Amino acid sequence: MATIDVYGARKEVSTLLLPETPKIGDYVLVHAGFAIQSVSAEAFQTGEVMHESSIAHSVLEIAAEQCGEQGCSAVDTIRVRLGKATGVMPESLLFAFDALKEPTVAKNAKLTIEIVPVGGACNDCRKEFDVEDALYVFACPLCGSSSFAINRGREMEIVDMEMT
Amino acid sequence: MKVKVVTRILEANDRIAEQNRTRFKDAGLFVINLMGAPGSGKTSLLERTIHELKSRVRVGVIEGDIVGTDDAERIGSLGVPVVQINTGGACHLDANMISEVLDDLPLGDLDLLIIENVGNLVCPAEFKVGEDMKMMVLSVAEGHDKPLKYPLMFRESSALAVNKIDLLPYMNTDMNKVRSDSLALNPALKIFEVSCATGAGIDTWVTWLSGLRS
Repeated sequence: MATIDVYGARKEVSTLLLPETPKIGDYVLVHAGFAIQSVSAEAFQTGEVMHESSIAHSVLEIAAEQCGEQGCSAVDTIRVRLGKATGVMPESLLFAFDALKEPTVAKNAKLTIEIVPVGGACNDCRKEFDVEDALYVFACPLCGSSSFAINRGREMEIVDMEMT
Repeated sequence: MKVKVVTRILEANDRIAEQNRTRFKDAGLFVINLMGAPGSGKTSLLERTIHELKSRVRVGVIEGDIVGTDDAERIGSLGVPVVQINTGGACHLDANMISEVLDDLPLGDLDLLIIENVGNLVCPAEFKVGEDMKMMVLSVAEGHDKPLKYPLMFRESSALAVNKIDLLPYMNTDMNKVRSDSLALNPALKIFEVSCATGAGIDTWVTWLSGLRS
């Protein structure tokens, strides 16, 4: 067993699944109470750990760039639009963002994630539709036609930011 | 101050992917991003493919793995140029990782570059690396529920190689369901049934692949 620090919160996890016993100060990936993988400090800082962290890393880079361009010194809020069909977990993105923001201009920033459902337009009934909770659709939910175009649900974009 | 941004979060990645694509085009290369779960047979399919193709087509390979060089050694022993990328934990290859190793490959002396992505059915589908085409390998042992569980990768891929068909008699995997669900997600998907163990279906796959370059 080992004690991990998640942002100041302490928790006991099992190290049984790691090939080598980690040293104090090492970074580990934790899933369901088990440390499942050791991670280099560098990989952690550069966001190369899970794909949500590469995405959080990109968000922070864009934020820093914008902040510089506007002559501001701190980013306060960032609003992100995330399509349901992207394979990005909002909770993981929030976690990664909070873990990575510390040394950046966005260290006090709050990240808000808007989820965009999968949706499209039907070529037959000519109506727009949203698909509740699903990642895909095989027929227009309004008229049953199989001729339609999915045009929403893959978004992964920053909408706006507040900075001072 | 509130600033409207509306920037694609992966814009930086897509920009580098576009630069990679330009380099590939200039070198006259066709580039495939090969994806699939760990153990689906991506490297085995590569071995079979290279074995069949290498007398006619100059093939190069980029191997993506979290750690280790086993795959690069397997491919290297076939006598084709190969570079190993170790992502050190990352679950996918991104455009920048590819860009960094391009100088290690003789791009001008190749016709086809196959990038074997990290074994994973989720994230690799989201990151462009500059490829002309995405392809995936699914083994029958993974089960027929995979297309609907991982729709994005099936949708993003242009071709699907269903591997290990020699195991079908021992599996409850319904090939019709694999086909119909995959095609419902992506009607343009080309589906190949292969066995890297017996060589079944490899001919058809390789013939299709060699027609792609021109």
